[in-house]
Amino acid sequence: MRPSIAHALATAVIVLTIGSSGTAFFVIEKAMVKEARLHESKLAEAKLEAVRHGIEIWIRARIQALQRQAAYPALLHAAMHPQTGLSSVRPVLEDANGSEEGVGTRILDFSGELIASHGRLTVPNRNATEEIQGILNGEVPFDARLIEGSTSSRLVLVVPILRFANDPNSVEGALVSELPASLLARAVATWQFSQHGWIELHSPSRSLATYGSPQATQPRSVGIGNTGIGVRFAHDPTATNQIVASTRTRLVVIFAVFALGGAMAVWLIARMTIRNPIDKLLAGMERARSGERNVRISEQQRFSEPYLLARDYNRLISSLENAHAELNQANVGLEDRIRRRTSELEQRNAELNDFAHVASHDLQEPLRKVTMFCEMAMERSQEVLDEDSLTYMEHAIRGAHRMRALIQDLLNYAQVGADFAHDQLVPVVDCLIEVTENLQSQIDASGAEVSWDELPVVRHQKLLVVQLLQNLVGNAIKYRSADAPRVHVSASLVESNWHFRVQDNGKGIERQYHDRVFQVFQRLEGRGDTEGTGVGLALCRKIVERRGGHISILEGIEGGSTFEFTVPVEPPETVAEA
Amino acid sequence: MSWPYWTRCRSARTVAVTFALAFCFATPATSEERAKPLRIYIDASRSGGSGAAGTSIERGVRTALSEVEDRLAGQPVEIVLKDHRGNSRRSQRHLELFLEDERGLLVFGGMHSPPLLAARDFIQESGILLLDPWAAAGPITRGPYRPSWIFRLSVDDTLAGEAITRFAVDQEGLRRVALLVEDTGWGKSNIRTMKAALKKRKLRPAGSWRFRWGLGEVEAAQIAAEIGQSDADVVYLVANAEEGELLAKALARLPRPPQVRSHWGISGGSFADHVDFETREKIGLVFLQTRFSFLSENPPDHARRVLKSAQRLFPELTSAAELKAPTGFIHAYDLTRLLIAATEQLELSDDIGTARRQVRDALEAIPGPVEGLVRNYERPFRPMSDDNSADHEALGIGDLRMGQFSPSGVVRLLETPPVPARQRD
Repeated sequence: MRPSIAHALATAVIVLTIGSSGTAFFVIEKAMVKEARLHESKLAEAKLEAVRHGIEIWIRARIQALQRQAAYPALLHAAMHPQTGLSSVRPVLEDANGSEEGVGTRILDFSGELIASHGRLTVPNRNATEEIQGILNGEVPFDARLIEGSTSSRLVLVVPILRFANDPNSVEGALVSELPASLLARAVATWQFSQHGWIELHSPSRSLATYGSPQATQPRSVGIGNTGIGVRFAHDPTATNQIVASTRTRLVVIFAVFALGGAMAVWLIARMTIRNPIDKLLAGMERARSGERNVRISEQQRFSEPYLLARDYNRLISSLENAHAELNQANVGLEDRIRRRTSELEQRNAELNDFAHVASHDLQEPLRKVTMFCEMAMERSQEVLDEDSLTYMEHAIRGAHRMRALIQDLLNYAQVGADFAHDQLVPVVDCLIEVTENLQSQIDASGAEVSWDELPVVRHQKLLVVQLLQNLVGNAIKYRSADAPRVHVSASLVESNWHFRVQDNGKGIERQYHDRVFQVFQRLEGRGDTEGTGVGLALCRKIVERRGGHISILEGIEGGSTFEFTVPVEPPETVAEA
Repeated sequence: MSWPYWTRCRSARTVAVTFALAFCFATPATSEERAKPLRIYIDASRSGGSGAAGTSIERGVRTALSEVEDRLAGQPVEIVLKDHRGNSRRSQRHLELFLEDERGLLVFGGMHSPPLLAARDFIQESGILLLDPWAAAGPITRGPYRPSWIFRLSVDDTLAGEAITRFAVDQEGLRRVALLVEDTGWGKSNIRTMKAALKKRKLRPAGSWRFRWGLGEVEAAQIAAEIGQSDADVVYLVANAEEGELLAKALARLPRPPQVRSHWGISGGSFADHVDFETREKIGLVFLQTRFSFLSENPPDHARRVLKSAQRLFPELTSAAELKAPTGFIHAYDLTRLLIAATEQLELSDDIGTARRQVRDALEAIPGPVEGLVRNYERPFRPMSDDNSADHEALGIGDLRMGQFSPSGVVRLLETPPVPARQRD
């Protein structure tokens, strides 16, 4: 399988699915066990409460039965007038005792003294009196008490004998039933709570009965009112443990199936929805990259991200192909037009060169004749002609010279062409040395000082570089100020161009003329002030622009002018060759 | 103030003060004992349906004592109230407490006979001076005791049967008599006297029924139904107010309610408050009383004075009709009057046992007539003789009347007096 981001993503999702499933399993398992223990605890409390409630109901039922016995007038009579009433109470006492063994009943008078008794009575009446005196005085509610003998415990139930049934304050005696605690224990045994755990009935000092075998170490206990009877209940955890174990096993299986199934599903979904479409997309892009045209990706599975990718890819490819077609069409027309225009231009250029060349030569010839004949006429007619005529003749001759210079310059200007075949590596410093030699007479005459820094090597025609520098240095000397001219040439590298600066201390050029001076035949001063044809700076611009450079006058520098022109940097290896 | 001459001497004053102090401290016990008032116990039911009887007896005793500034034989007297609630055992306990009281002079009993019947032997053997203003059972004052410590000023059951029969049989002409009595010594003694009275008229009761204290409505209805089946036209009822109420209502519910002629036990409580006039009319309820009533048309001046005294002491008694269970008041007043007369000339001993004997003897020899509410008494009690079992009975059959409740529940005496069967003296 080829590793890919989609593959890694799918693997990560699978790992995450399995990992999160495992984590969820542990969390749920812990919560389940906790819940089971809590449930067990609540169950134990509920069962204990049920046992307590059952005992209370059992005691209450016995007390209610005793209350019915105590309501017999014979008992009231006996309690109030035992001298005459004792004879008729025996059947009532027998009825109260019932058929259970070990039960005894006694009648007490209002002060707790024994009036009559029947059945088995082991608790001395003195003890019973202490227990029920409070009841007779109305200090404690009627209730049951567990009274412990030396060998066994007896449950004593006390109900009042009332003079008036509806008046709880009309107590005239008490009916006291005494029964063995084993009766209660037998009743509790029939409730079969012991199958859920371990139950113990106990008095404050001894155990009365136990049911089941203790499995837990934390029995709960509760007292039955103020009877002195206590119940302890320990829930049997075996059943809960079994439920927890089986539930845990089921949980493991469920989570394993869920994790594997989930991982498989994620893998399949990832393969179908991510990897396959991305593979198709990559394959399509590869085909497109290799130049195949009209490559489209299937756009199935809408609304998925790969679908969106494929859709956008297809749209991109379509728009690219449209653009490509349009471009091809445009190219075809453009090439034709360029070719046509280039040939036109070449033709015109050739014609123009021819014209200029022809014009220059053809103009120079008659001009040379005009000059020669004017000079000859002047030499011969110097005596004849008057002062004004001589002056006119001088003007004519000067004009003819000037025109010759103009024509020469124009010829030079016309000759600066796009022919790069003769360009070579030219050390600029050599050109500058040649310039100073050419201008030596002006330098000497003006006392000018020409200096330069270290200067680079550029690819150009040496003659044109000498013309460029000579025009600029010559102008600096020509348009001097009152001080002796000082010209300094420097160069610096900015990005891929050499920036040359020719700085002088001359008159300077006003800001408004900075563009104009580079046009042909544009001069700032009258012809009489300085010599010049008005072609020099235009020629400079043409030389600079021939190699893609640019020439300008720098602004903001006071005192003199600073011309800056740029020349593309020649690669170092070519310079080294030079 | 000037001292006598001999006291002006300082040493003489000192000697005198010393002797005076020595005299005071020489007999402290006697003086202290004498300073304590004598105590008269009233042991009666003061709660439940018969509570009015106990209260009425107390008022009679206090009213009579107030006429002599609460003094007996020159000594102050205070009253100790005990509520036995009709319970013989509780009454027995109260009598034991009385015996332990070194200033306890005598005991007034209550309306219920059973406590006195049960305690009779104990009373006689312990020498408890007991004055009975109400409980009617014949055996209470009788028995082999010489001297006897129990004195009664009330209806004597040995006369009650005769008195009721005179009214019901002789005057009203009723013939089929059902006897309905409580199952106590009091009930039994009445059965005997009532049967004897009927036998004298050659009649036999249509049947006799007994009931216990605390009986319920069902039991009462059952008894009433049986009486209805016996076709009796009159029921002699011997009951206290509580059980009497239930039985009277049950009898009134019968299709042909019999007439009820009752012993006076029902008048000792709030019977009339619980049994309405209509029910009382259905059974023509008439019951035994003694012959005096504050509600008679022309009460004597003495009776008016007594009523005023009582109203001063007990402001809640705005009228004679407010006096519930008047029998208790009347008898207790008269009995206390006899006690005052007996002790008038006595110098009581400091020893309480001796004092009790002195008063008992004095009661058997009261000098001169004593004006009471029921009658003027001439030598009401005598030492017990073998031939006269009524020596400790202050009243005779001539003092008995029949009474009934007015619509408002007040006891009124009927005009016709029972014909005297025998004259006292």
